[in-house]
Amino acid sequence: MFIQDIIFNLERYWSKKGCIILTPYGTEVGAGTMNPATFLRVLGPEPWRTAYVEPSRRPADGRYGDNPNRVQLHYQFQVIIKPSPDDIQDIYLKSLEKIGIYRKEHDIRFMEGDWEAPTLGAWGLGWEVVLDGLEITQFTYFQQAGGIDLNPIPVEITYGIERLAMIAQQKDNIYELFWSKDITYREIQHQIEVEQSKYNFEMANIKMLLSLFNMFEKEAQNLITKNLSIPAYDYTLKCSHTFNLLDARGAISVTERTGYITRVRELAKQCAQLYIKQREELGYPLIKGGNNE
Amino acid sequence: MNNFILEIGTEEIPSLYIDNIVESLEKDTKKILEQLHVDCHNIYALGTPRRLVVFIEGISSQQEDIVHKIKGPSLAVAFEKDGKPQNAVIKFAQANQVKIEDLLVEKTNKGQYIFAQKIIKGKRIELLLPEICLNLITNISLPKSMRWGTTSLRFIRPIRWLLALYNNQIISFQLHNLTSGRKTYGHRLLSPGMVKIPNASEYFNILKERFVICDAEIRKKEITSQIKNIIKNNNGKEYVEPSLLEEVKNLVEYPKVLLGKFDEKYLDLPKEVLTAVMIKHQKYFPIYNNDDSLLPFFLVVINGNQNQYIENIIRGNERVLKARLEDAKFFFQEDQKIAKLGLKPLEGNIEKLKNIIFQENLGTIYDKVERLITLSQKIGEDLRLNENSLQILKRAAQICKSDLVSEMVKEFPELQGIMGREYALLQGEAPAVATTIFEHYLPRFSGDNFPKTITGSILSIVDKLDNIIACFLNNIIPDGSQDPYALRRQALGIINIVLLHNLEFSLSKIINLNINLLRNNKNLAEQKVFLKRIDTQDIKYFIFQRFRFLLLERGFKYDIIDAVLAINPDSILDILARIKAIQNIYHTSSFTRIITAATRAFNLSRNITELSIDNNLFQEQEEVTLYLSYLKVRENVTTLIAKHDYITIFTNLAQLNKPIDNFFDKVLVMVKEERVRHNRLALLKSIANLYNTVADLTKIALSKGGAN
Repeated sequence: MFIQDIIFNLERYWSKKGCIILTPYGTEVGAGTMNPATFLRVLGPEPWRTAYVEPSRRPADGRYGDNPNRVQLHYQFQVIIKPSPDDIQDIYLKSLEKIGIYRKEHDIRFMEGDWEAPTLGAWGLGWEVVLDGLEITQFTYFQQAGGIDLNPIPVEITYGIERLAMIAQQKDNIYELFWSKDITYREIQHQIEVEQSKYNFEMANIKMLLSLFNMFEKEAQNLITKNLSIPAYDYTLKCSHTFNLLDARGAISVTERTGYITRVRELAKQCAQLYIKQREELGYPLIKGGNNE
Repeated sequence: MNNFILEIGTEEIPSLYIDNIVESLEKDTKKILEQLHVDCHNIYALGTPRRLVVFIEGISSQQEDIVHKIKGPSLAVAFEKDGKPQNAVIKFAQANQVKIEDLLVEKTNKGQYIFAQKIIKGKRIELLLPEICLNLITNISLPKSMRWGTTSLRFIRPIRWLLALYNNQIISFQLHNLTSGRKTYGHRLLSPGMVKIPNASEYFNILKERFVICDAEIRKKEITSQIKNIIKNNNGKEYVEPSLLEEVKNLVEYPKVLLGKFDEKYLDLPKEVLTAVMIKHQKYFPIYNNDDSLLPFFLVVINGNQNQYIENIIRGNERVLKARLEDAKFFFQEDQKIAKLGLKPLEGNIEKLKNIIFQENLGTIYDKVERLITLSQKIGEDLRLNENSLQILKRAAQICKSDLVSEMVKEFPELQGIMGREYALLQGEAPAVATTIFEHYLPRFSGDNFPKTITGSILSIVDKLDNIIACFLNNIIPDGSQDPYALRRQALGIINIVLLHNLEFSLSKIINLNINLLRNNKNLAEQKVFLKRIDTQDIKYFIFQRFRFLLLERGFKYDIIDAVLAINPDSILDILARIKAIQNIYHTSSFTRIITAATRAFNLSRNITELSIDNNLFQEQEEVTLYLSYLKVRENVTTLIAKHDYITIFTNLAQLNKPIDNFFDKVLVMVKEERVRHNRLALLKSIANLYNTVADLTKIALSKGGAN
């Protein structure tokens, strides 16, 4: 199955399960969790069901296009359902059938894998889903986001699209995957990996990034005082990505590191608190007399 | 026979916790049944990743009647002379709703008393079971808990169903949005549908048909025998990694062992790299030759027996292992390349350690290495190591952490120390340096080997000590079950290494030096404010507490241990020597007399601070004799203490027994004349202090028959 068919099939499946299909966010993120469709929407009592692809950037994972398993930008398929349904594990296992993975033909294991995102003040408990020895999904019941206890509890399912494709296409090298029948992952992503690796590790302008970080932070703080949680969160994401770049570049000493993480988390927390307050003031518009099950 | 079964159906519980939860579930059940006076033949608690089960075999259908006795007034004052009950008795009977003629008289250790007896009729078991179930589920002790969906219930993982059957009858109870019933589920992949259990006694058979073996011990046996079979067929050594077995048995409900292969070219990697990938990352069992080298096979325990698809499952696992080994090989070759170019991979990494944080507020691993060099040299010098050994120690300390930034250890953190050793050899270090690097992490877990070399021992001690002190400065101090950095194990490691190699050095000097090195790191001047104020004694006390447990375990008496620790000796070997000497003479009458003498001297002079003794103030022969004996014994003890010869010290101290006895027989200490009194007290205090140089003998608990 081609990468794009995996995406189509998962989108179709989850839309039938009541999820709205969104698109990737417009700014750089490290994971689908950081998209406000997850981070902000998991807060508060309103129900929420969505699924979307998220190109996720981890600048330090760049390998100049040389490593068959590791890239600085990979594609996640993210599902968020709040509150978590009782039969969610079964729903998940059925989703795998849509990409040709039948539970009776494989050894599928839910192995303990707790999750934490220090820059978001978020954590949860759950599993890595392992298929015949390979981790294909992170499955998490969020407990906190932005330092706030969540209620009801959302479940997050994050598929590694490339991992699924490597199983479906029986490939050992990410670059040999077919995105569609005509075009490979290499043809689409390889130049990106080479150039971004060079940028992340060698070219990123440290001085500029350091001052950008401060500017983004200041802007986010200012926007929070103006009760604008959404743009404030955008600038929080920019801070986070800038920090990741600086980190990959080796520009942040270990002692400074914790300080930067704390600064980003502080912004994320304030955005979360503000957003919850705003939703309350709006009267929780998504609570439409029982959820749409 | 009446049976009861409770099944808590969950999403996958982490394997690590299952055994403990099951164990406490069994204990709790036993306790509740005892408290409720419910009899049964057997209680079994069992668990798989997806269910916790309590099976009560032969549970009695009826709770026993509970006899409740309430104590009333004393018989002596209960009745008037003519036998009429006193007012107090009448009120007591009324209050307890018992007729006066039904009151009992019973003997207590304070005489005879009136009792009211109430019999609470036992309930039918069906009526008690719902409460028992709720109690078990909500009070279970969990290492971690979480919430899910909309419920406010907390559990280790979401609870999805509850089954509770007394024989064929549903024991119905409600736990938040869950209602108990007779429904359960078989194996997640092989028998996904719901199934109803007609009778508690059929539960295990029905689940077995649906590919679930509830008993972890049976799963373990099953895995072991399958593994042994395959090993035998491949002429391997019969060995089943025990810790992995414990983990894997709780990852599956229906184990099936499959044999996979990998390319022999990967056998060129260090063995520990292969086993780390297989055991830690993939949960595969390696197969060894009889000479302990590896065979190019692995065993994966899958959940189920999908016969027709087994080949695919094996291929999948082989592909994953190959990718992992390929990564490892790539990293190893990169590091080897550096060595072939004449560069030293570890040497080059020293600078990079500045990028790895050691602990919050306490700088980097680079800073730690600097401390390890200083500290290990200090102990080395104290132990009078020769110049060559000191050089080995110094070199090993310099590069002992350099493997942390190698690609290999970044990928496989558990290979720290092992890769350090390999890379050291690769870059042409002396083999003793390589061994010291490897050994400095030992023992890594309870039951692990200890360093065999002196240099490895010293580096291991200072590495662990530095970890302990760093955590204390950051206020990460073990408390109850909280010991995230395993500081207790590290302290025990230090003690065991010292004892194993007879390493005599001053604890307080090295601890003091270590604290100063940590506190006075000039790079961290600003962070200093975050650090907790601790002193040498805090660390010593922590180590002594571990030592105390170890000594108790080895059969030394607690009072002897406490007597010695009370005077705060400065070396582990010295403590042991003192304790051994006391244990040796503990039962002798001479020791009993020493204790008696020490206790009397101590008690009388408890509040005395003045120690100067004036010869001219002595009035009685006995105090002169005691004083002269004291001077002689003191002189001997001072020289003997330096040699840790406590056995002879006690022979010397025994020489004071008679003069002290005579002194107390003939001399009145608390005389009116102040100067004479003070002089006598000063003598006693000096003697008490002398005893105290060996141990605080007043802490010794003599058995009652011991004193003569």
